[in-house]
This record gives sequence, C-alpha cells and structure tokens, in this order.
Amino acid sequence: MFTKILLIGTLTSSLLLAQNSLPKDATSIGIELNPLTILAIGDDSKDTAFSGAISLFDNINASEIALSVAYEKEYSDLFGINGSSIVAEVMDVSLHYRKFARAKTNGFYYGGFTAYTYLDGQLKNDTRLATVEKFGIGAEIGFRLMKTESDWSVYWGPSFKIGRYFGSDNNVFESNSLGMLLYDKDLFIDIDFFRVGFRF
Amino acid sequence: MKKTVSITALFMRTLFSTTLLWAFNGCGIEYRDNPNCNYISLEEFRSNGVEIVEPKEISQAGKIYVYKNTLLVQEVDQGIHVIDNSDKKNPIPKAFIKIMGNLDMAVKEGYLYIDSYMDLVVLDINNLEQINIVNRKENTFSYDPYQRAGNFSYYFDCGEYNQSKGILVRGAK
Repeated sequence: MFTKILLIGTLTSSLLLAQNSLPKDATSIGIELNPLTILAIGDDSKDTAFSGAISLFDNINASEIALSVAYEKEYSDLFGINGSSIVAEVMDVSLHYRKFARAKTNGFYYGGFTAYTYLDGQLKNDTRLATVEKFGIGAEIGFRLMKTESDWSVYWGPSFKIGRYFGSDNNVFESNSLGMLLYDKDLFIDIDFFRVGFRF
Repeated sequence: MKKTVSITALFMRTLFSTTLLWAFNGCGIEYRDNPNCNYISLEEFRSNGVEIVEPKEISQAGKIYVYKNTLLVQEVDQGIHVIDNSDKKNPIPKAFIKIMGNLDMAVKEGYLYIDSYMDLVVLDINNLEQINIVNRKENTFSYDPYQRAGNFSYYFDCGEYNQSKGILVRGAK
C-alpha cells in the first residue's frame, strides 16, 4: 500500500508543482468527489469507499489534466466466526487529458487516460486469495457544468469512460464488490454521473 | 522570463513519469492462501474433529437444548457449550465440546448425539466432569463442503471445493 500512496502523492505533487510552469491566471485547480460512492459500501462497519479527483484546468487552451482515484475496501463477517476479513480491495488511479469542445473549460469534453488498477480479493473457483496490478489506457467523453468567469465555482462533471488493460490477468476474482465488477475485466466501462467538484 | 509550457506537453511529461512509476511498481498476479479457508485431511478430521476443552465465552449462540439439569448451547459451526444448570440462578459452565462442522444435536438417556460434517458422534454426558466420546459413525450424512446455516454457506468466500484436499474448514487449522 505504501507504493500506492507514494504513487498518488507523487502524481498530485507533480500536478500542483506543474501549475507554476503555466501562467497564473491561465490555470485553476479543481477538486472532485462522488458522494454516491458511499452506496458501494457494504454492511460491515469497517467497509470503506472513496472516489475523487484533482484537476488542473488550462483556461486558455480549454483543456484539463486530472488525477482520479477510486478506492474500495470490503470486509465480511457473515457469522462472526473469525472476525471481519477483507473480501475485496480495489484501487484505481487514472491520469486523464481532456480537451473541451468549446473555448472554455465548460461543456462537453473528450479525452484519453491511462490507468493503474490494484485488485485484491478472493479468486473465482479457487480457495486462494490474490493481488493483481495492471495497467490500461482508455478514452472518455464527459461534461462540465461550471462558471468559468468567476474565481471559483462549484461544478458538476458526469463522464463516460471506456478502456482496456494490457498484459494482465482479468476475470479472476469473485464479483463480490462494485470495484471488482468494474475493474476485474479486460475491457472496462465506467459511468460516473454524480461527480461534483470545486474549482478555484 | 518565466518559461511556460502547454498543458498537453505537461500531460505528456506527467504520463511519461507515471508510466515509469507504474513500470517500477510492477504488474501481474500474486497468489496467497486464504487464512479463513483451510483443508484438513480425513485422518486429521477424525482424530481431532471432536475435543472436550475448558469452558469458554459464548460468542454466537445457536440451538439451545435442555436435558435434566444440563444446558447445551451450540456455538455456530464451532461446538457446544455444556452448562450445569442445577442452580437456575447460577448456571456453571462445565466444558466446551469443540466440534468441526456441527449443525445440530440431540440427547437421549444421557447420550449427546451430534453431527460433525458427515459423521455422527455420540458423547456420554451423564457425568459433566468427565464427558467422553463413546462412538463415531462415519459417513452417516452426506458431506456438504459448503455447509449451510440458514440460507448462507459458511464457506461462501472459499471458492470451489477441491475434494482431493480433504475437508474444508473455516478458520485456522
């Protein structure tokens, strides 16, 4: 897990530091969360789920780079026999480039992304557990509804992305969590409708 | 003068460093045993499957059976608590019968009949200070590797059963 935190930390820092290499007024930062991720949380009190992103908007060229993180950890304690045990842990870190259709960072956008996905859980048709780490690329379309004139704005940002993992093991885990359903696949599709953010 | 770069160039730089990081981090699959799902051999199951041990706390009570002044409380899938109930206001735990794969029990004339996966085991509980296993009738029941409690399997997260490995048990061996 240390390497994953290091990965996210390094990417976030590089995004924030990179803002200095662009003209000050030309860029803004966005922080996004999907509050409905909480619906992915199961019955166990220790279950965790989070989905968010940090974005760097280029207001002159109407583009954006974003670092998106989705994390889910599911426990199970069906009979209280052994205490809670982890049944699935999923983390997806993706780096996106988005180009807006209009001259502002508002409205429809299209783009591409690279993704690193970490899956840990119960194997299908096997008593063993496993960890899979994989790398993929994809394309996306989305929409941003925000005020571009003011210094700050709350925004809504639904998106649809489709991607593919390369050279990795897929369809190996029990589909016992939302993360496994989405990412334990060769070809993955994700529709994020309820993502809201704050640009400043 | 401050040098500026386009966000596209910035993305390419970040993508390059990210790819390096991912490559450094490594991709692939690593297998490990599930500590909650273990196999034991039939020999081990039959020699250690039923054991009389010191009383312990009830954590998940199952069926309750009253026989004369003895109270038997099932610990789901773990065994049976034997409690001396002579003094109703002050029941005294006397022993815990550790039973692998126990779902039910019955008592007749001082003998406790229990199932332990596919075997029927008989214990003499006439003297609570000295509970003895008196008989084991092997393969009385059909073995269900995904033994169920209600609508749920104890082993729902243990994957496909491998008969050649023996008996599937939950928890540490």
